[in-house]
Amino acid sequence: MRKEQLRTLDFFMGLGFAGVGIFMIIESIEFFNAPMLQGYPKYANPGVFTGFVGILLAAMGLSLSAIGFRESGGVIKTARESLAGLVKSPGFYRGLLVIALLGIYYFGLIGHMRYVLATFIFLAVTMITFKATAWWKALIISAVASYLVAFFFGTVAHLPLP
Amino acid sequence: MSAMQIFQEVMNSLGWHTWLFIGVGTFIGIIVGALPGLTSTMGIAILTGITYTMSGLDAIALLIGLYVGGTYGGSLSAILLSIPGTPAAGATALDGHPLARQGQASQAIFITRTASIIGTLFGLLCLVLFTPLINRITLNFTSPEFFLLGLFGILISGTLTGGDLAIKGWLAGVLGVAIAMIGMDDMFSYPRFTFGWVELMTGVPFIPIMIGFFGIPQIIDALKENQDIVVATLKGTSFHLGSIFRNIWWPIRAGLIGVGIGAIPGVGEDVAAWVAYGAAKRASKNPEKFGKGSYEGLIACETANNACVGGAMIPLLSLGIPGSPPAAVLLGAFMLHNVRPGLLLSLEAPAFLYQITAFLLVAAIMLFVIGILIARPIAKVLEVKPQIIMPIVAVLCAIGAYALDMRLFNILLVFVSGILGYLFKIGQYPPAPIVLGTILGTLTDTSFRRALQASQGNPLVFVTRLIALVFLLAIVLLVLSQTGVLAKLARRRSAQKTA
Repeated sequence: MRKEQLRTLDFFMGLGFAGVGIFMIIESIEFFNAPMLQGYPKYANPGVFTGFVGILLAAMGLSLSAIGFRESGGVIKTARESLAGLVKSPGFYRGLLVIALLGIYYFGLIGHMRYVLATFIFLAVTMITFKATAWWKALIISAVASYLVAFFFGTVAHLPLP
Repeated sequence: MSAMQIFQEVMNSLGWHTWLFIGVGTFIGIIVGALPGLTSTMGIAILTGITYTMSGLDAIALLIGLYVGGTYGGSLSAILLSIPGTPAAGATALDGHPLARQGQASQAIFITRTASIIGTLFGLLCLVLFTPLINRITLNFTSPEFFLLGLFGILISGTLTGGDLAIKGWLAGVLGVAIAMIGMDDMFSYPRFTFGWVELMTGVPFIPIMIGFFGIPQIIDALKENQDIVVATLKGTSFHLGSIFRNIWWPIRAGLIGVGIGAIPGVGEDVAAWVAYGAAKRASKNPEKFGKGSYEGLIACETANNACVGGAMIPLLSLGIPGSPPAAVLLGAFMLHNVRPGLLLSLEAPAFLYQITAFLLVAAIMLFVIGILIARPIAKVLEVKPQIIMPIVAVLCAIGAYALDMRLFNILLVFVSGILGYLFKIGQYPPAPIVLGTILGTLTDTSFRRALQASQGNPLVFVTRLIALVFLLAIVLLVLSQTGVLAKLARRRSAQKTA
């Protein structure tokens, strides 16, 4: 990644950090008004340290954004070029596919069917999609791996599987 | 009872099952470390949940073995594939793979294995010598010292791992602290940042966060890249001890660097290896050989990264502050088994330090035996494509996080922190300070507020105590040095002198 692209990303990340920091500051002020904490000294309030952390995040986030803005060579221009380059790269779509498959396994399969079946489906689909090996070898490896993980965690370690 | 007597008692009490667990842990660790994309951090994190049903000492023995084996294991793929199996083996690839291309893969593996054993032994020696000394100092620590120590630990970790800008490391660390604020606060049980979610009332457990930050980005990258693997050939066996002991200062210097860096919170084996490699190159009579197959380079990085194991345990056991990411996960494992490292450990469980030392000694012995047996089979394992290994790793990440307390919510945490971790990786934000911040956040919060409570709200409590003042000055100097203020002052002074 070129330095200008990195700094452009830093600009937006810095704004993100600052946003989280400002949110923490606002919430921390609410803690001082909480009825259940009125009998306690203000300096021991749960909002004292969270407010401090929020101030640190906001201040450092804005500093990072300033550095990013200064060294990006034009934030909007560099962001547009980077996004255009990213969308054209084949790795981008492969990365999105990995994230989608993980999401489907973690939230769509686990807990909604037997663990061994959910794991087998995920492993088989992922290995075949990414051309790990011949499809029939992928099915065998997926079946064996699913069974072994379930056996080791469920039977050997006595853990109830999801 | 003297330290040596306690140590002898501990060694005598090590049953056959403890040796077995350390051996199994070392074996799994070498494989985990050797496979690119897996690290000892992930291995310890995934296995911690499984050890819930085991006895405390057996579980810790298994995980210590995994830590030692994993730190060494990365050198195998670094030599045979030129791809470091763990970040700690990054420097090993520079000289290990050129040696493999010259037909000296066996010799390179022998050197890294021996250097790793020497490093482990050096680290455990420093652990047993320095931890009692630090314990004596920490008995004087109260809330102001713990707050400033936690803050210093997060900042130094961010500085040393921050890459191109230290502020990125600091932001990562403070974000980790912010994550630790989620849940009921320790002093008044007041819910903070829970948004009404019952799952967040008990806070965010840090092991799923670690699995997400360290594991998911590797899985995404490995499957995205679709690279072919070329494994160097492993011929014959070699036992040339002379190449290691040609200059006794090589392993001693690297060991000292490894222990020193290991003792710095949250930094870890990869920094230790690179710093030792750089120091060895600067001190070498033949620096031109570095990068082309230098034995000196291999010995430096492998001794340092394994010495870092013992070094990372020093602040872990004496202060409850992990010296490296794998040590951070070990902290979670210790707490799962009712061992609370830190100030009171030397009073509640004085033999624990020596038990850990004994485990490290046995792990070093196992590393020697298993390392010899596993070298050839590992070359076959490394031929397995990442497209087969990484989906299985994704499965282990989910079940490892779930196994901690049987909550599907932990799998959500792995996924969310994994996506965030991937974004951080692209932007070159280090993951170690985030994890350290998550671990130290609660300690820093309660120490800060208790210090103010004890002083009736007077903030001078952080400057009127000597040790606290030292930490505060260290923090101020660190921030000023990284923000360029000190450099500007020095330039102005030299300009005035010239004028």
